[in-house]
Amino acid sequence: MTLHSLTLHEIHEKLRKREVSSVELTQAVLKQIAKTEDKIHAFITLTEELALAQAKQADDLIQKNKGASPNNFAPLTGIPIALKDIFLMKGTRTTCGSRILSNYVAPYTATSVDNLLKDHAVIIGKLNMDEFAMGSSNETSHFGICHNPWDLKRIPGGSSGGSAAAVAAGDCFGATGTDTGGSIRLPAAFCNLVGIKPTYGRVSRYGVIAFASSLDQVGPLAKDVTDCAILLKALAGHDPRDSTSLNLPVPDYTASLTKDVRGMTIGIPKEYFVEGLDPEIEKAVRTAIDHYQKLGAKIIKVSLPHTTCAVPTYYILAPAEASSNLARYDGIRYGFRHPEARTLLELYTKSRTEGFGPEVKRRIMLGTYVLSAGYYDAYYLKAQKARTLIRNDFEEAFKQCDLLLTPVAPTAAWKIGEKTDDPLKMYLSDIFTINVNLAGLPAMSLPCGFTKGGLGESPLGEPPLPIGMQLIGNHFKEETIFRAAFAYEQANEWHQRRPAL
Amino acid sequence: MKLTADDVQKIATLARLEIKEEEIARTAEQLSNILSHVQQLNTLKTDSIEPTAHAVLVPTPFRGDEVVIDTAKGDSPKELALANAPDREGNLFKVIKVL
Repeated sequence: MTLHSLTLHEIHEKLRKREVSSVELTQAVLKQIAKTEDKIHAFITLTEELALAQAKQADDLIQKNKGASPNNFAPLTGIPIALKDIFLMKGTRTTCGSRILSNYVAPYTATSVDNLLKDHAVIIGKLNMDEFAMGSSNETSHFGICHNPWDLKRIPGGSSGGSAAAVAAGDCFGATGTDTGGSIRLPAAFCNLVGIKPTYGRVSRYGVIAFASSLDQVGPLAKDVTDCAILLKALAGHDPRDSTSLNLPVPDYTASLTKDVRGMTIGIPKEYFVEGLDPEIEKAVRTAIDHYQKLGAKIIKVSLPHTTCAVPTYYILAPAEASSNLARYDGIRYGFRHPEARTLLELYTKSRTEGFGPEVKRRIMLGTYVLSAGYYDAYYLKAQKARTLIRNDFEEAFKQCDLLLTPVAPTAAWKIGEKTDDPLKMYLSDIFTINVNLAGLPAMSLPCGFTKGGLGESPLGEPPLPIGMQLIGNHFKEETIFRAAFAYEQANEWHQRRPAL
Repeated sequence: MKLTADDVQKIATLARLEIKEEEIARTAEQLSNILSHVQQLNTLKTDSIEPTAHAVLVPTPFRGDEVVIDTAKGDSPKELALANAPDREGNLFKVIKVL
């Protein structure tokens, strides 16, 4: 197996045994990027020079440790990681997938990125994404569509599409993402990866460009559960610079990887197995449920009666918050300024009109409308109350079980262009992930099978596509998710498959 | 829920955006579709329900009101703040004449 196909923890072992250097690793992924980037377009910016300098430093640190027992360097030391282009890293361009920030150079570094740098991770580049993280397919990026490494005709999922495509293609050994309505879990499911959206407040958002502040959360995308645990441990922690950051100790998530789910109760919400769910997805998820039963978990039926309120609630709250957050792009202090504006009002209007893409403008307008005079009670307040009902549903469910198991999405990855003309159709692909953000819960997407593929329209046939399942935990219970995910993963091989690129 | 062309123009102005004449009808239709969908919340009884602004509540922390200058690393905060300005003059952001 080539280096770039290995997992992060396998690479750490190789570094520990001095079988490979960080510089060699960095060169290997840069080679893989050069080979695959024309096909998938996962990166907006490559930070090749910086990465090689960081790799050299990491190698020095590892050499200094020679003979030390145990090896005194972090599991991320010397390992190439990439960042969704929503994370600020000082001195590096950060675009958020938008024309309006196409020349923006970050003046400081996000706390979560700083945490990776403290562990001497190597930052290989900034990843493609839906503009301002608004999208489920990565098609709204100003810098071009990102392609799914499992089938180049298809989308990788969004908004962290570049993060998923890069990890799946072996361009890096892990990536950061953000998840406001499913933006980590959906691309993880579509690209056969493990991705976790932690409890709201678990990872600092300081230095992460804001979309919808009551929902946004940072998390990792990785090749397996162990890598995901290592990355979350590194990213998480209290940060006084983020007022929503939780002041709780961060557990060692790798300690939860025990393979044992005996005594655990897993709830299956009936509202997630409804019409519109692709039969192949349902079959894969139900097989996984049976598997948990065999492993000794108790399976029970639960109900989350307000599930169908998720999409309408989200598409009031998220655009409302976005319209306020994105008011800062005014063409004055940073970002694109239209050269032909003659008055201050024109400067705002023209800069924003040409700086933002259609989906971002649509959401700003939607948010502006629901917050405008006379409509606040009917939309925003109503949605905040619906949110309480959604949250109460989960509270009730978690009185009966430790975890919930659901599909991540109603279908596997769809073809490029299939949903771009119908925003509402695109929004409905997040039907199983949005509730979790509204309730602030932690949830993971992990591989649980593949579609059959087959003949299809293409003469070469349709390749099998990854299927993901979702494990939802109660607030602060990431460890329960990791424990159950690891138990399933150790008894299955889906996560070991790599796309043929 | 049907938005008119006038509604769309009014929202665009409030949002400091311009919608081209030929895009108004389509924008009105798309926004109307989304608004019709979200209106299914009207069927919920919420009179006695408290709103949730944040799902995980933490008390708002305060920091001291102190000037912080990052001189140790040799950075000028002023320079950092101005570095991305589309137009500047000395230590100021330059804008079009307002008055």
